[in-house]
Amino acid sequence: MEQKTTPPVIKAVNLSKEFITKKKESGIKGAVKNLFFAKNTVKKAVDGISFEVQRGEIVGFIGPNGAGKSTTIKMMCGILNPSGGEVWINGLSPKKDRQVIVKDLGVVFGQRSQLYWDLRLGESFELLRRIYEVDKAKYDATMEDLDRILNINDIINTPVRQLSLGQRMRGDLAAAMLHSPALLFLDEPTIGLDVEVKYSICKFIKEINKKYQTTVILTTHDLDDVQALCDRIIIINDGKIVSDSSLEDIIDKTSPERQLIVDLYTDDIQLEHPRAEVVKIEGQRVTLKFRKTEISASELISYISKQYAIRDLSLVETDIDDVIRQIYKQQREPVV
Amino acid sequence: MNPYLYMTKMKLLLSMNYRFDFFTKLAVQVILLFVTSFFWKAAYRGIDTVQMVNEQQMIIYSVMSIVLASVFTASVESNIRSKVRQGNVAVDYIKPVNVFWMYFAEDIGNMVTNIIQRVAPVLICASFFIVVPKPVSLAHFLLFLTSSCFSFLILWLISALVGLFYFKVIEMGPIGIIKDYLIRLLAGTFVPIWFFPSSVQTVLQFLPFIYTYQLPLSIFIGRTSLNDALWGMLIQILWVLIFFALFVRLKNHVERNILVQGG
Repeated sequence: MEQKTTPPVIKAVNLSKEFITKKKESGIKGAVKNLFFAKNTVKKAVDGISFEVQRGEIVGFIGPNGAGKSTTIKMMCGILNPSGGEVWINGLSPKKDRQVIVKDLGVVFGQRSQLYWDLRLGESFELLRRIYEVDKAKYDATMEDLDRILNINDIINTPVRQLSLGQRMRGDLAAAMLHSPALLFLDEPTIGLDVEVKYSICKFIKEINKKYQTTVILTTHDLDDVQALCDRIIIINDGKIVSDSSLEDIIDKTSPERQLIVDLYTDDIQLEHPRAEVVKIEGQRVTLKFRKTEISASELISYISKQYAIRDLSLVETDIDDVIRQIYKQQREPVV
Repeated sequence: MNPYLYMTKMKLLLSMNYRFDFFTKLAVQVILLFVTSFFWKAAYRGIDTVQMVNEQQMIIYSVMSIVLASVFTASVESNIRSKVRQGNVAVDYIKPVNVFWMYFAEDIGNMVTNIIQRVAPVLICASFFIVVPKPVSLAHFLLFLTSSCFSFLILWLISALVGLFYFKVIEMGPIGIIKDYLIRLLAGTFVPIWFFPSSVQTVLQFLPFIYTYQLPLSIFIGRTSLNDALWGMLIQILWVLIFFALFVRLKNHVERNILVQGG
């Protein structure tokens, strides 16, 4: 009952953003022409998207470059005003109440930093503490938490310009979380980072989500992050939502088939099953294709082991990169 | 501590960091100091007073002009310019602050740095080698200080207004620099306006520029009487209000149609 009455953290209705760009013609002749008669073209970066996000969700926004993910995030923080539709954060419009909304909002733009380049990292934190009016005791407690996951104390006295990309990113994440916001926007937080840092960032996001019920919106191109973190994935392409569901659902819908590869001791193989398809037999190796909904892997394996002795086997999961690529291709045809 | 005050403090820490910048700028100022004083000494050779100002006063005027110019910094414009180009305005707008108050606080920080770092060396150098820049009276000095504050507000608002245009046009070429020199010239920093033809002087009366540098400086050397000084400051306040109204309008417009580059 209680769950239903809590309003969504984010509610977007028919949200759109048009950018007017000057159409530039090429060449010297074109350049001269551009100077005097610039032609305006309207580009719809975000084209009427609607969605709701509930408290405590981790939602992944994915889509090809230029699909409108960052634009959507910027409209949600009030940096950009929508040219159509509305968005509400906790029932407030970022257009009117930017300062109120951002008070309870943490934002990380992977490609920009909110840290002061020339000063030690701690100095930026101190400033943020005052901007967000976090009292000292609460600040110390949060810092301790952040240090545990992100090892902030190792770098807190280093000038930001001397930090490596991974360290800076850790600093930026900590900076966004200092005031323990209820909502966190991460715009490509793992861009250009090594596996180790990526892992600790994912761990961090999971922990704060679990501990504080922080709602997280994540845009990324790294599907491993998405797989590790998101309960729900919104795929945007050409400014429109093409899919909004869990990753499993997407895989089930787009490519429900999995593969089982079995190595046997014989090359005289005659195998058939009504609910699985033998794709190929190569020497002692059999490849079978089956649907998770029709037969479980263990069922299939035990069926085979009754007939042949199995030396080795492997189960091939659908490659999510392939699945997503497939969805990007089917532009504008809703999958779900 | 208030967040804006803390920004001021951070800017202070930040600008204390650059030693090379500090020494080069100081060198430039000292050279300027000598050049202008030699210039006025040469110009006044054999002449007692011009336009109610004697050689001594004129040299103090130019020394104080260099002092004021080194104190007044309005980096809003260049700040916005680089932030718009790199798309970093976004980062400022995700903070629950009034963004322009933040820029203002940072400029106050710059100004305090300048007062600490620049004013003392220039004044000491001038006192030893050129002239002791002494105000005519305590009353004149206090009015000079107050008037200088209004001057700073006018200059800052002009800079902020130009800065706001960067949201629209992204690049304006050297307009920013031309603007700075034009203001300096029309404000009487190099040559006071009273040396200009009277028709030019009349026109400049109705423009804000002489109220940025010339007014406080001529109060300092006592060319402007206390009574006129008060009138002048009234006009300064008027200009502050006009620019502030313009600034608020333009700022609201820009924030409504804000343009964030890239990403």
